[in-house]
Amino acid sequence: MTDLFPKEMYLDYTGVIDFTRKKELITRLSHSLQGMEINSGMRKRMIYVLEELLSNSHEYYKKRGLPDEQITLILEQNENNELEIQLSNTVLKEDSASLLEKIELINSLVDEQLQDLFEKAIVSDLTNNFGGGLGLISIRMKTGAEFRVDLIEKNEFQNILNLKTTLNLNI
Amino acid sequence: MNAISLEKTEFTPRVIFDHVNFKFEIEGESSPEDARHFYAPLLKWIEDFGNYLHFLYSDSPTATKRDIVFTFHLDYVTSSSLKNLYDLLVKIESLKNYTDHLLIRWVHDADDEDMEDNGHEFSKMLKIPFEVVGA
Repeated sequence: MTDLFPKEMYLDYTGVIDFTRKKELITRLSHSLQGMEINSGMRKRMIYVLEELLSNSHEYYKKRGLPDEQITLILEQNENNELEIQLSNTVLKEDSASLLEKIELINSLVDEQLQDLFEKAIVSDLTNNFGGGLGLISIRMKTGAEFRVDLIEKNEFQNILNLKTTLNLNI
Repeated sequence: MNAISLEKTEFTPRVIFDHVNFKFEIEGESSPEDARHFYAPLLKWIEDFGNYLHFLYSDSPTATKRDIVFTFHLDYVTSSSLKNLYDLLVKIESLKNYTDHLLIRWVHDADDEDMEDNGHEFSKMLKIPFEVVGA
């Protein structure tokens, strides 16, 4: 299979996340993809996955009053021609168990079940607040890949949540 | 009531809700910082439009009911926008009492499977005629 992309890191960022920074990172990814032989649908999907992951962190920090907390984002192509996105952010220990449970649930579902969950989430009022999970559900549906996740203790009250997903770029 | 006419911006779509000319279109990208804030006035407008039609046809029971077609041509939407679009479509669904032909025309770019899927998904969830069209 001919590589469609040079094997390189597309994004490597550590810093705060807000709406403007999120859009800057998306623009940087868009620029990296210019000149690549991928259709616009796949391009949009890549941007969508990145945006939803960043929105997740941003919304969480907003709701939990953590505006100065940072994220670490690494976006690169792996040897299987997959886009690998790894996002690390701070989570409160009191939220960690429920977040892990939600991710495990999303990972455990097959297509039809994900569809059902997506429909339930989209009609629920919870999706207008963090924790509704619509973004993570839709990422799982679009990538077809399970999230890889782990938690590392940061301090007495906080953990670092490392979340990784992949998007198959082979066409 | 007044029509809504919003210009397209970098993160929000062009919106035309024109109750005089019966032109209803949403076109462009939907990825605003606060999707609920953006879509709230549109939801309110649909509600007001329903009230407007109710009084219009109450006053003139023999008047011919006009077709109502909402055209969505979105090239990119975030999940928070999808949620608000669903809420908007539910509001639009309530207009079926005031027309013999209510239709959602969901237009997607030809190679945009995700937007096509969104159209099909909404069409399954709602009880209004949906036309999913590739452009």
